Amino acid sequence: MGLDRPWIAQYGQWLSHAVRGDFGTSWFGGDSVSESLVLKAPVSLSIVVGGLLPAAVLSVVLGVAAAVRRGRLDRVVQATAIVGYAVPSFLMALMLSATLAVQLRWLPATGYVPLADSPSGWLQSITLPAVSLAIGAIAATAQQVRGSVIDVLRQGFVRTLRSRGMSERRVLFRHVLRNAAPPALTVLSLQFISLVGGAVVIEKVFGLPGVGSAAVTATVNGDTPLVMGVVVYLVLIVVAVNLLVDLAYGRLNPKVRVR
Amino acid sequence: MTQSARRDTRGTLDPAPGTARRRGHPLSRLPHNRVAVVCLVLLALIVAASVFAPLLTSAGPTRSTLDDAFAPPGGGHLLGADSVGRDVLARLLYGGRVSLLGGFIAVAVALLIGVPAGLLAGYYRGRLDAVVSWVASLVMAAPAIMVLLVSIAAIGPDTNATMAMLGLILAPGVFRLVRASVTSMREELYVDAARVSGLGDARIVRRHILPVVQAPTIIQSAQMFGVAVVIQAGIEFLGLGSAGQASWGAMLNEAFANLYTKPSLLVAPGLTIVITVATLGLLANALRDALVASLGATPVPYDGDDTADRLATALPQGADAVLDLVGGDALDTVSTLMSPGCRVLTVADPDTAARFGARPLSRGNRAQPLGELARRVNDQIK
Repeated sequence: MGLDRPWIAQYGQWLSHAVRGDFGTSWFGGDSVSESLVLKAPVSLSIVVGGLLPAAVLSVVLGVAAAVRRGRLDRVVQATAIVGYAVPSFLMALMLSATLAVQLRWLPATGYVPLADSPSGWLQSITLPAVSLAIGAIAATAQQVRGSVIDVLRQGFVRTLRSRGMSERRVLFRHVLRNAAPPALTVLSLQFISLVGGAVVIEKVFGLPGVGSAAVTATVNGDTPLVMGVVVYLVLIVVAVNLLVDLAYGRLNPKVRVR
Repeated sequence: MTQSARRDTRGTLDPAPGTARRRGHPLSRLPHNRVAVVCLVLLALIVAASVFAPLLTSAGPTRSTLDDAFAPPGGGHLLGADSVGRDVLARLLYGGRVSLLGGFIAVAVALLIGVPAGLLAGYYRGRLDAVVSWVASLVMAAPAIMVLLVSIAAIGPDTNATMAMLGLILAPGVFRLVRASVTSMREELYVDAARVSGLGDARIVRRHILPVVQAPTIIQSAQMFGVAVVIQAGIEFLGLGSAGQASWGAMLNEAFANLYTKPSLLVAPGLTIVITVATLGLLANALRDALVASLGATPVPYDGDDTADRLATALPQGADAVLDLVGGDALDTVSTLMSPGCRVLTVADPDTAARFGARPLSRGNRAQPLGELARRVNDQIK
């Protein structure tokens, strides 16, 4: 394996293979790292994306409603933010698993069904993990959306638009939301990355064969090639998410477009 | 700047001494905030419970009595026993030590790196700022737990070393916060004023910039502590903490292993984590409220015939400077020259002001050179 060579030489060899898509083989089991990651990534991405998409929709609705209506709904959103901060996603997962899966047997407690095998089985197998990830994300994002909508509502141009007789609905949907969106998008992109981290522990709770559980096993075993492969997978995700967010900024705000 | 500064001070503003808003150091307002007091008491209890664990329970956190496996709460085990007969209460108390020490290490490392880096980068800008900011955004881009896994793979499972690593990951957040505060401070007129009046860099940072950075940093620290407790529990839950120690995360792992036979084992460690972290979060919120209320230098205008009486009651409330100024314009000018948190008592009548040690800044001070005005304000505050 060439472990006697200087680490810089080992790294150089790893890098020259990695750019060609070869991340070596696992020291335990001898599987190809890239193949096993390709196999495991859909599991992790299913629960992360499956958690984030509903979380994004719900938190925008909740955040905007809290900012516009204030009152009781506002206090609920604020309280949820504290709960979401204080209840770690894996604790939420443990509670959901103990009640909904183990006691009531509504949903499977462990295992993953690929989407290609059975769409309904897939949905059932990712529901609880996705929900446990989503709750924390909703709490954090709704709070941010609320804050940025309130900031925009306070600005002078909103008063001007209202004074020109524009309907409240039009002010909100055409002008306020567009201006409040960039900070909310930033939070969502950060949430995506933190959900990828949260998925590591969630996968263990629900016995899902994803990248996270592979990373934990590799960490315990000291399986360096697999750990390196996981890091590359992460870097790719972070870069892709940031690129998407930058493109979305451009769509929302003509001022940041590059000619 | 503030409402009171814009209004005409002559006759219309009449704050009774009791209602004049006091704005001092954000922390000085905390005892008035009920949530903050409850949170601080709860935190003190949690700390005391784990520090004095041996006094509160005679049971050992790792001593197992197989006969007591899954013992129900009450009797010999106040909170019951786990699958190998270890006392849940003892594990909870001793586990608190691991969590609190871990949180402390993470926050300390984050502050030790983040605060100096943020002050230097924000104050001196330039190439240093560019490099450090780049490194910070690089570290922030990765999910913390994954970075921790890699570090555990490299240095082995040791809870305290992992928490120090977490501090390293949290440091960019502190750095950005401090840097942002310093950068915005630099643009303020009163920092220019301080420089014009001959204060050195070190003194400007200590007198004008550190006090402003301090409050948000304390808020961030409370929040980071909560994050550290959560992440540490996650690491221990995965079985990647130091071997053989009782911790809240390890207790959750034990509950998870017995999810089908005894799910109630989740309750004690779960509730403890939630209460600890929620307390830290609420404390951070209360601190933030106090901070928002204390932002901005606040002119406390006084006027009228009984000025002398009012001054006598107002001064102990802690005005940092007494100036004989009238009119909104003058107040605005002074406000921008003073760092946030300073209280200025303005008195319309020069004679009264003089009796209370105020030096005349002269009426219609707009005509005065900025440097001269700044020097006088700074003289007053010293």
